[in-house]
Amino acid sequence: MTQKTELIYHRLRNVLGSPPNVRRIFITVKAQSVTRTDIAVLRVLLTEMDQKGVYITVDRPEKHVMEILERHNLASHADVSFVAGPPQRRIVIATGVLSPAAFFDDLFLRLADPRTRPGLDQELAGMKFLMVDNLSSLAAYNGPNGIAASFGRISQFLNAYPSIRFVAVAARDSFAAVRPGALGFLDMEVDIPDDWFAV
Amino acid sequence: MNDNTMERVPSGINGMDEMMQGGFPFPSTILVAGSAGTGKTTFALQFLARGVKDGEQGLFFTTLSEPTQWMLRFVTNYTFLDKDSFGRQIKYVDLGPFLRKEKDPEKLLAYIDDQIADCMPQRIVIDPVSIIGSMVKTDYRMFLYDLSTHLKNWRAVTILTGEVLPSEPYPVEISYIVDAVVLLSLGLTSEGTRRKYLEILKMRGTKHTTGQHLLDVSPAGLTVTAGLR
Repeated sequence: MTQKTELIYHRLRNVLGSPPNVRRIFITVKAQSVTRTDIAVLRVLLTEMDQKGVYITVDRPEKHVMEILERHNLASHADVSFVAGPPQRRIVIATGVLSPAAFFDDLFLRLADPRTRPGLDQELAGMKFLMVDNLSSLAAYNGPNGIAASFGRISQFLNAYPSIRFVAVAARDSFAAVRPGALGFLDMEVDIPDDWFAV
Repeated sequence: MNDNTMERVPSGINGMDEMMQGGFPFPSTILVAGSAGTGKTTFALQFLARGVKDGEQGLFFTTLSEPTQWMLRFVTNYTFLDKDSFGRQIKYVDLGPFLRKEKDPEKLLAYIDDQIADCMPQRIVIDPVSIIGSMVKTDYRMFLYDLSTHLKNWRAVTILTGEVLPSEPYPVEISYIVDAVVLLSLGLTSEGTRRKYLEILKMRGTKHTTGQHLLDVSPAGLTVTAGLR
């Protein structure tokens, strides 16, 4: 690991190890580094902190999410479940395309519905993080009302599960479109400098 | 998507970013088309070299089965690329052996996905993509559509280079599935000398300069002078 990569992980560990009352964290980076940062965040949460969580991806297919998790030794097929899938896994993945606001409505309703999967409520109560990948797509596909509605849904979910912390990595420039809808929502905003990502 | 939310990445081609609101949309797929000798591979390498300069990971797929050392010899005379970055910041993958052995496009896409997942690049090149059409036993347009979808899902900027045939102005079947088409061409000046030209034929979501513009090649790579024809 290079010195700069270690800097990134050090900052992420500090952020993700924040006190429990810091529950809504945004991490901003340059657009090209969003995916890399998502992987680093997952590495800290899943492998270093050994947490279970929910990973929502707005525009990436399930197959690609699984490839990323396996290729980077973050989780295997045995660790992963999807919303209506087998219980008691380390990470629950939900994928949606094109219309994140409508997708969020549908997703969080399904998560709240006991008919989705027996024991899902208990399982979620034991989770520690909710990640959304990625907010730039949320901004691209929705206007201000859609973005505000999405954060409203996430807020309701976090209120229902007090042990869960929200973490999202966003492209710095496009986060400007998301920030107005997120101002009443976020607890912490952290930026990672571009030159820390030098390969 | 409006200008306020569209991210852009520098192309690496001197003088080109000013023609397209600062750079290529991110993520996107770009077709760079031209006949032999117009600078397609140089364009692609300069694009990757800019990524290296910005600390990004690049991935270069060749379909022509050129060994790495031949590729390095090709770029020896250019100052824009550090040869040490090959194999590290720029991963080089030869698709040739795979294409000769395996004609199934799904397996080819899975192989490409595998390589991308391995290094998670921000910049990808497939040079040239047009060779694949003659080797896969399926509807080429459907394969290109699937390829484009796969590439966009990985959130990178991808350059596909394509040969232009005498019968067509640009590879039409590829132009439908990409976000941008850049055409490199050769033309005769009024003095009878042959010069290179660059033209942005289309670029989604971008106010770009139109028409042919002079393209020069030097040890620093390609330089386009917008407004000069």
